[in-house]
Amino acid sequence: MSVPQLVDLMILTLIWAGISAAWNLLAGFAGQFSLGHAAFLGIGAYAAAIGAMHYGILPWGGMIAGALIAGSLALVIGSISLRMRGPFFTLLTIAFAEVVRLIAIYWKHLTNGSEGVIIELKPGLMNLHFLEKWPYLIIAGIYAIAMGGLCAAIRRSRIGHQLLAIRDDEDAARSLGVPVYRLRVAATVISAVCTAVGGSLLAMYTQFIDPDSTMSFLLSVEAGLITIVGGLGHPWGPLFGAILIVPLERVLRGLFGGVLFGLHGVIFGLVLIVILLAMPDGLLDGANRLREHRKLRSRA
Amino acid sequence: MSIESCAAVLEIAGINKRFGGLSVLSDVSFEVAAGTSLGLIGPNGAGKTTLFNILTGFTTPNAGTIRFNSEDITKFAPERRAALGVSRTFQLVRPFNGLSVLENVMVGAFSIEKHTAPARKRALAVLERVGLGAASSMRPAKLTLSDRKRMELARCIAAQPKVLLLDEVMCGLNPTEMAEMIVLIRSTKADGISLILVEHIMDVIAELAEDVVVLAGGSVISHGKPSVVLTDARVVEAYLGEAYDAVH
Repeated sequence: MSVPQLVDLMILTLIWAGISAAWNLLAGFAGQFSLGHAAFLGIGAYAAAIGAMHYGILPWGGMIAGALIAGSLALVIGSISLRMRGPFFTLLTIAFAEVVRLIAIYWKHLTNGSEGVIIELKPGLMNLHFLEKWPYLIIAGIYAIAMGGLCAAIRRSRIGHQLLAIRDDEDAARSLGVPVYRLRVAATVISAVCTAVGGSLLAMYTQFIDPDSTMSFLLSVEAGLITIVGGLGHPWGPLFGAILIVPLERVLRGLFGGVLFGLHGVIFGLVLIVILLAMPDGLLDGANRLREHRKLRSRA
Repeated sequence: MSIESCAAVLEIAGINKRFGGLSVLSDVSFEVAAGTSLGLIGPNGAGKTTLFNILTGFTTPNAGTIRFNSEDITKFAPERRAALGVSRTFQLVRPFNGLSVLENVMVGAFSIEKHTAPARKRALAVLERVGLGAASSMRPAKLTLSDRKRMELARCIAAQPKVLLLDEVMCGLNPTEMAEMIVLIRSTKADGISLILVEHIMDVIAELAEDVVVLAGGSVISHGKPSVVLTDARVVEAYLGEAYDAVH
């Protein structure tokens, strides 16, 4: 693997670590499993791309606009689904993401439909466009650390304790005065905003977006997969999940993609099953347990 | 006792509840005086749990009003009542299993503290008080039932409620644990928290309650001092089977 390939892999890993951390905030903290985060990701990506290419808005502005749109939609989704729990919330998010994806495909005037949008800008920090890869690596790193740090800060705070209480037992939380509905909506909005920012970064890095690459259902699954493998509810779980999952997927595709169509997917699936059987609560929890086990053994 | 401390903290007036055609509570009225404990007893199916859920906001009554410190809270959601100072424990303990014992109690403390450090300090103090100081970093799943019940009580105490509803806190405890729990509940009361106790163990009611309400078939059939109520012929017939003898 060449250095540019390695840097490319690191950039994608970090962006996905950030996006998954945003997903973790809703699923791992508030206990609401979304399979519609691809919509927020796509909105962030399209806002940055369309803003820059069609309306002459700086990608940073597009990023903010995308975050605002994603946040507003999340406010609506969150409010509609207040009393929905478990599978009902998940189904609603799937339907929502599908609607957003279809809009992106058919509103050709705005989105250029399935043909997608190519992002060509003058290089520079203002345009979030660089000839080298390292500036992207720094920005992706800042995003990943900011998202993990945000989750860690929330976890320690009043809101974090209250969200986890809601996740574990909603009625018990309510009888201690936890404003369940308000917090759940807040978590949905924050998660959507953070995901949209990741979508904008992904678009600016790949310099080409279409509905498939930014809004497909598989992207929502990816965020969940990374989080669950890394450690659902752990602030830094998604970072570790991304470090394992993103390169693994790429490497397997590189190794077996040409051998037999779909073979890399099968192997990827098998590896995931083994990981989750060995560490059902994710990498971070598995590492913690191993450390405790060692400590016990050294004492004995 | 001053006149002020005799004022009712909770007034329940004319509560009716039907589930479809089934009348579960009819015209239930009583008051809880500030700083006192009220025992709520009655046979299974008498409507105790439904009344509990109505008082804490998890169920809406078909008719009647609930006043907390003279404010009508009948339509308030559970979290709003809790913020005002009406909290509860659950018959089957309901810990937050993903949080440590300390963090469980902090969730209670956070209802009056905004920041983490003071909330932790308050939670630790309450845990010490209920005798769980050493278990603060453990997960609730590793605690014994008795300790989990203490933790749940600690969680409520940390929120400093004005009225605390305890749903069969003694259920499943052995005599020693029960005695410890009685001491704990008494100290809670000494803090000025008014209590409503749903309880099947008459020793506990006789020990802790100044006032007893007996529900049977959805109606209040007796209300008064334990010594009077527990020997009331109707209560004996409907629930106790034999007169309660406090001396035994």
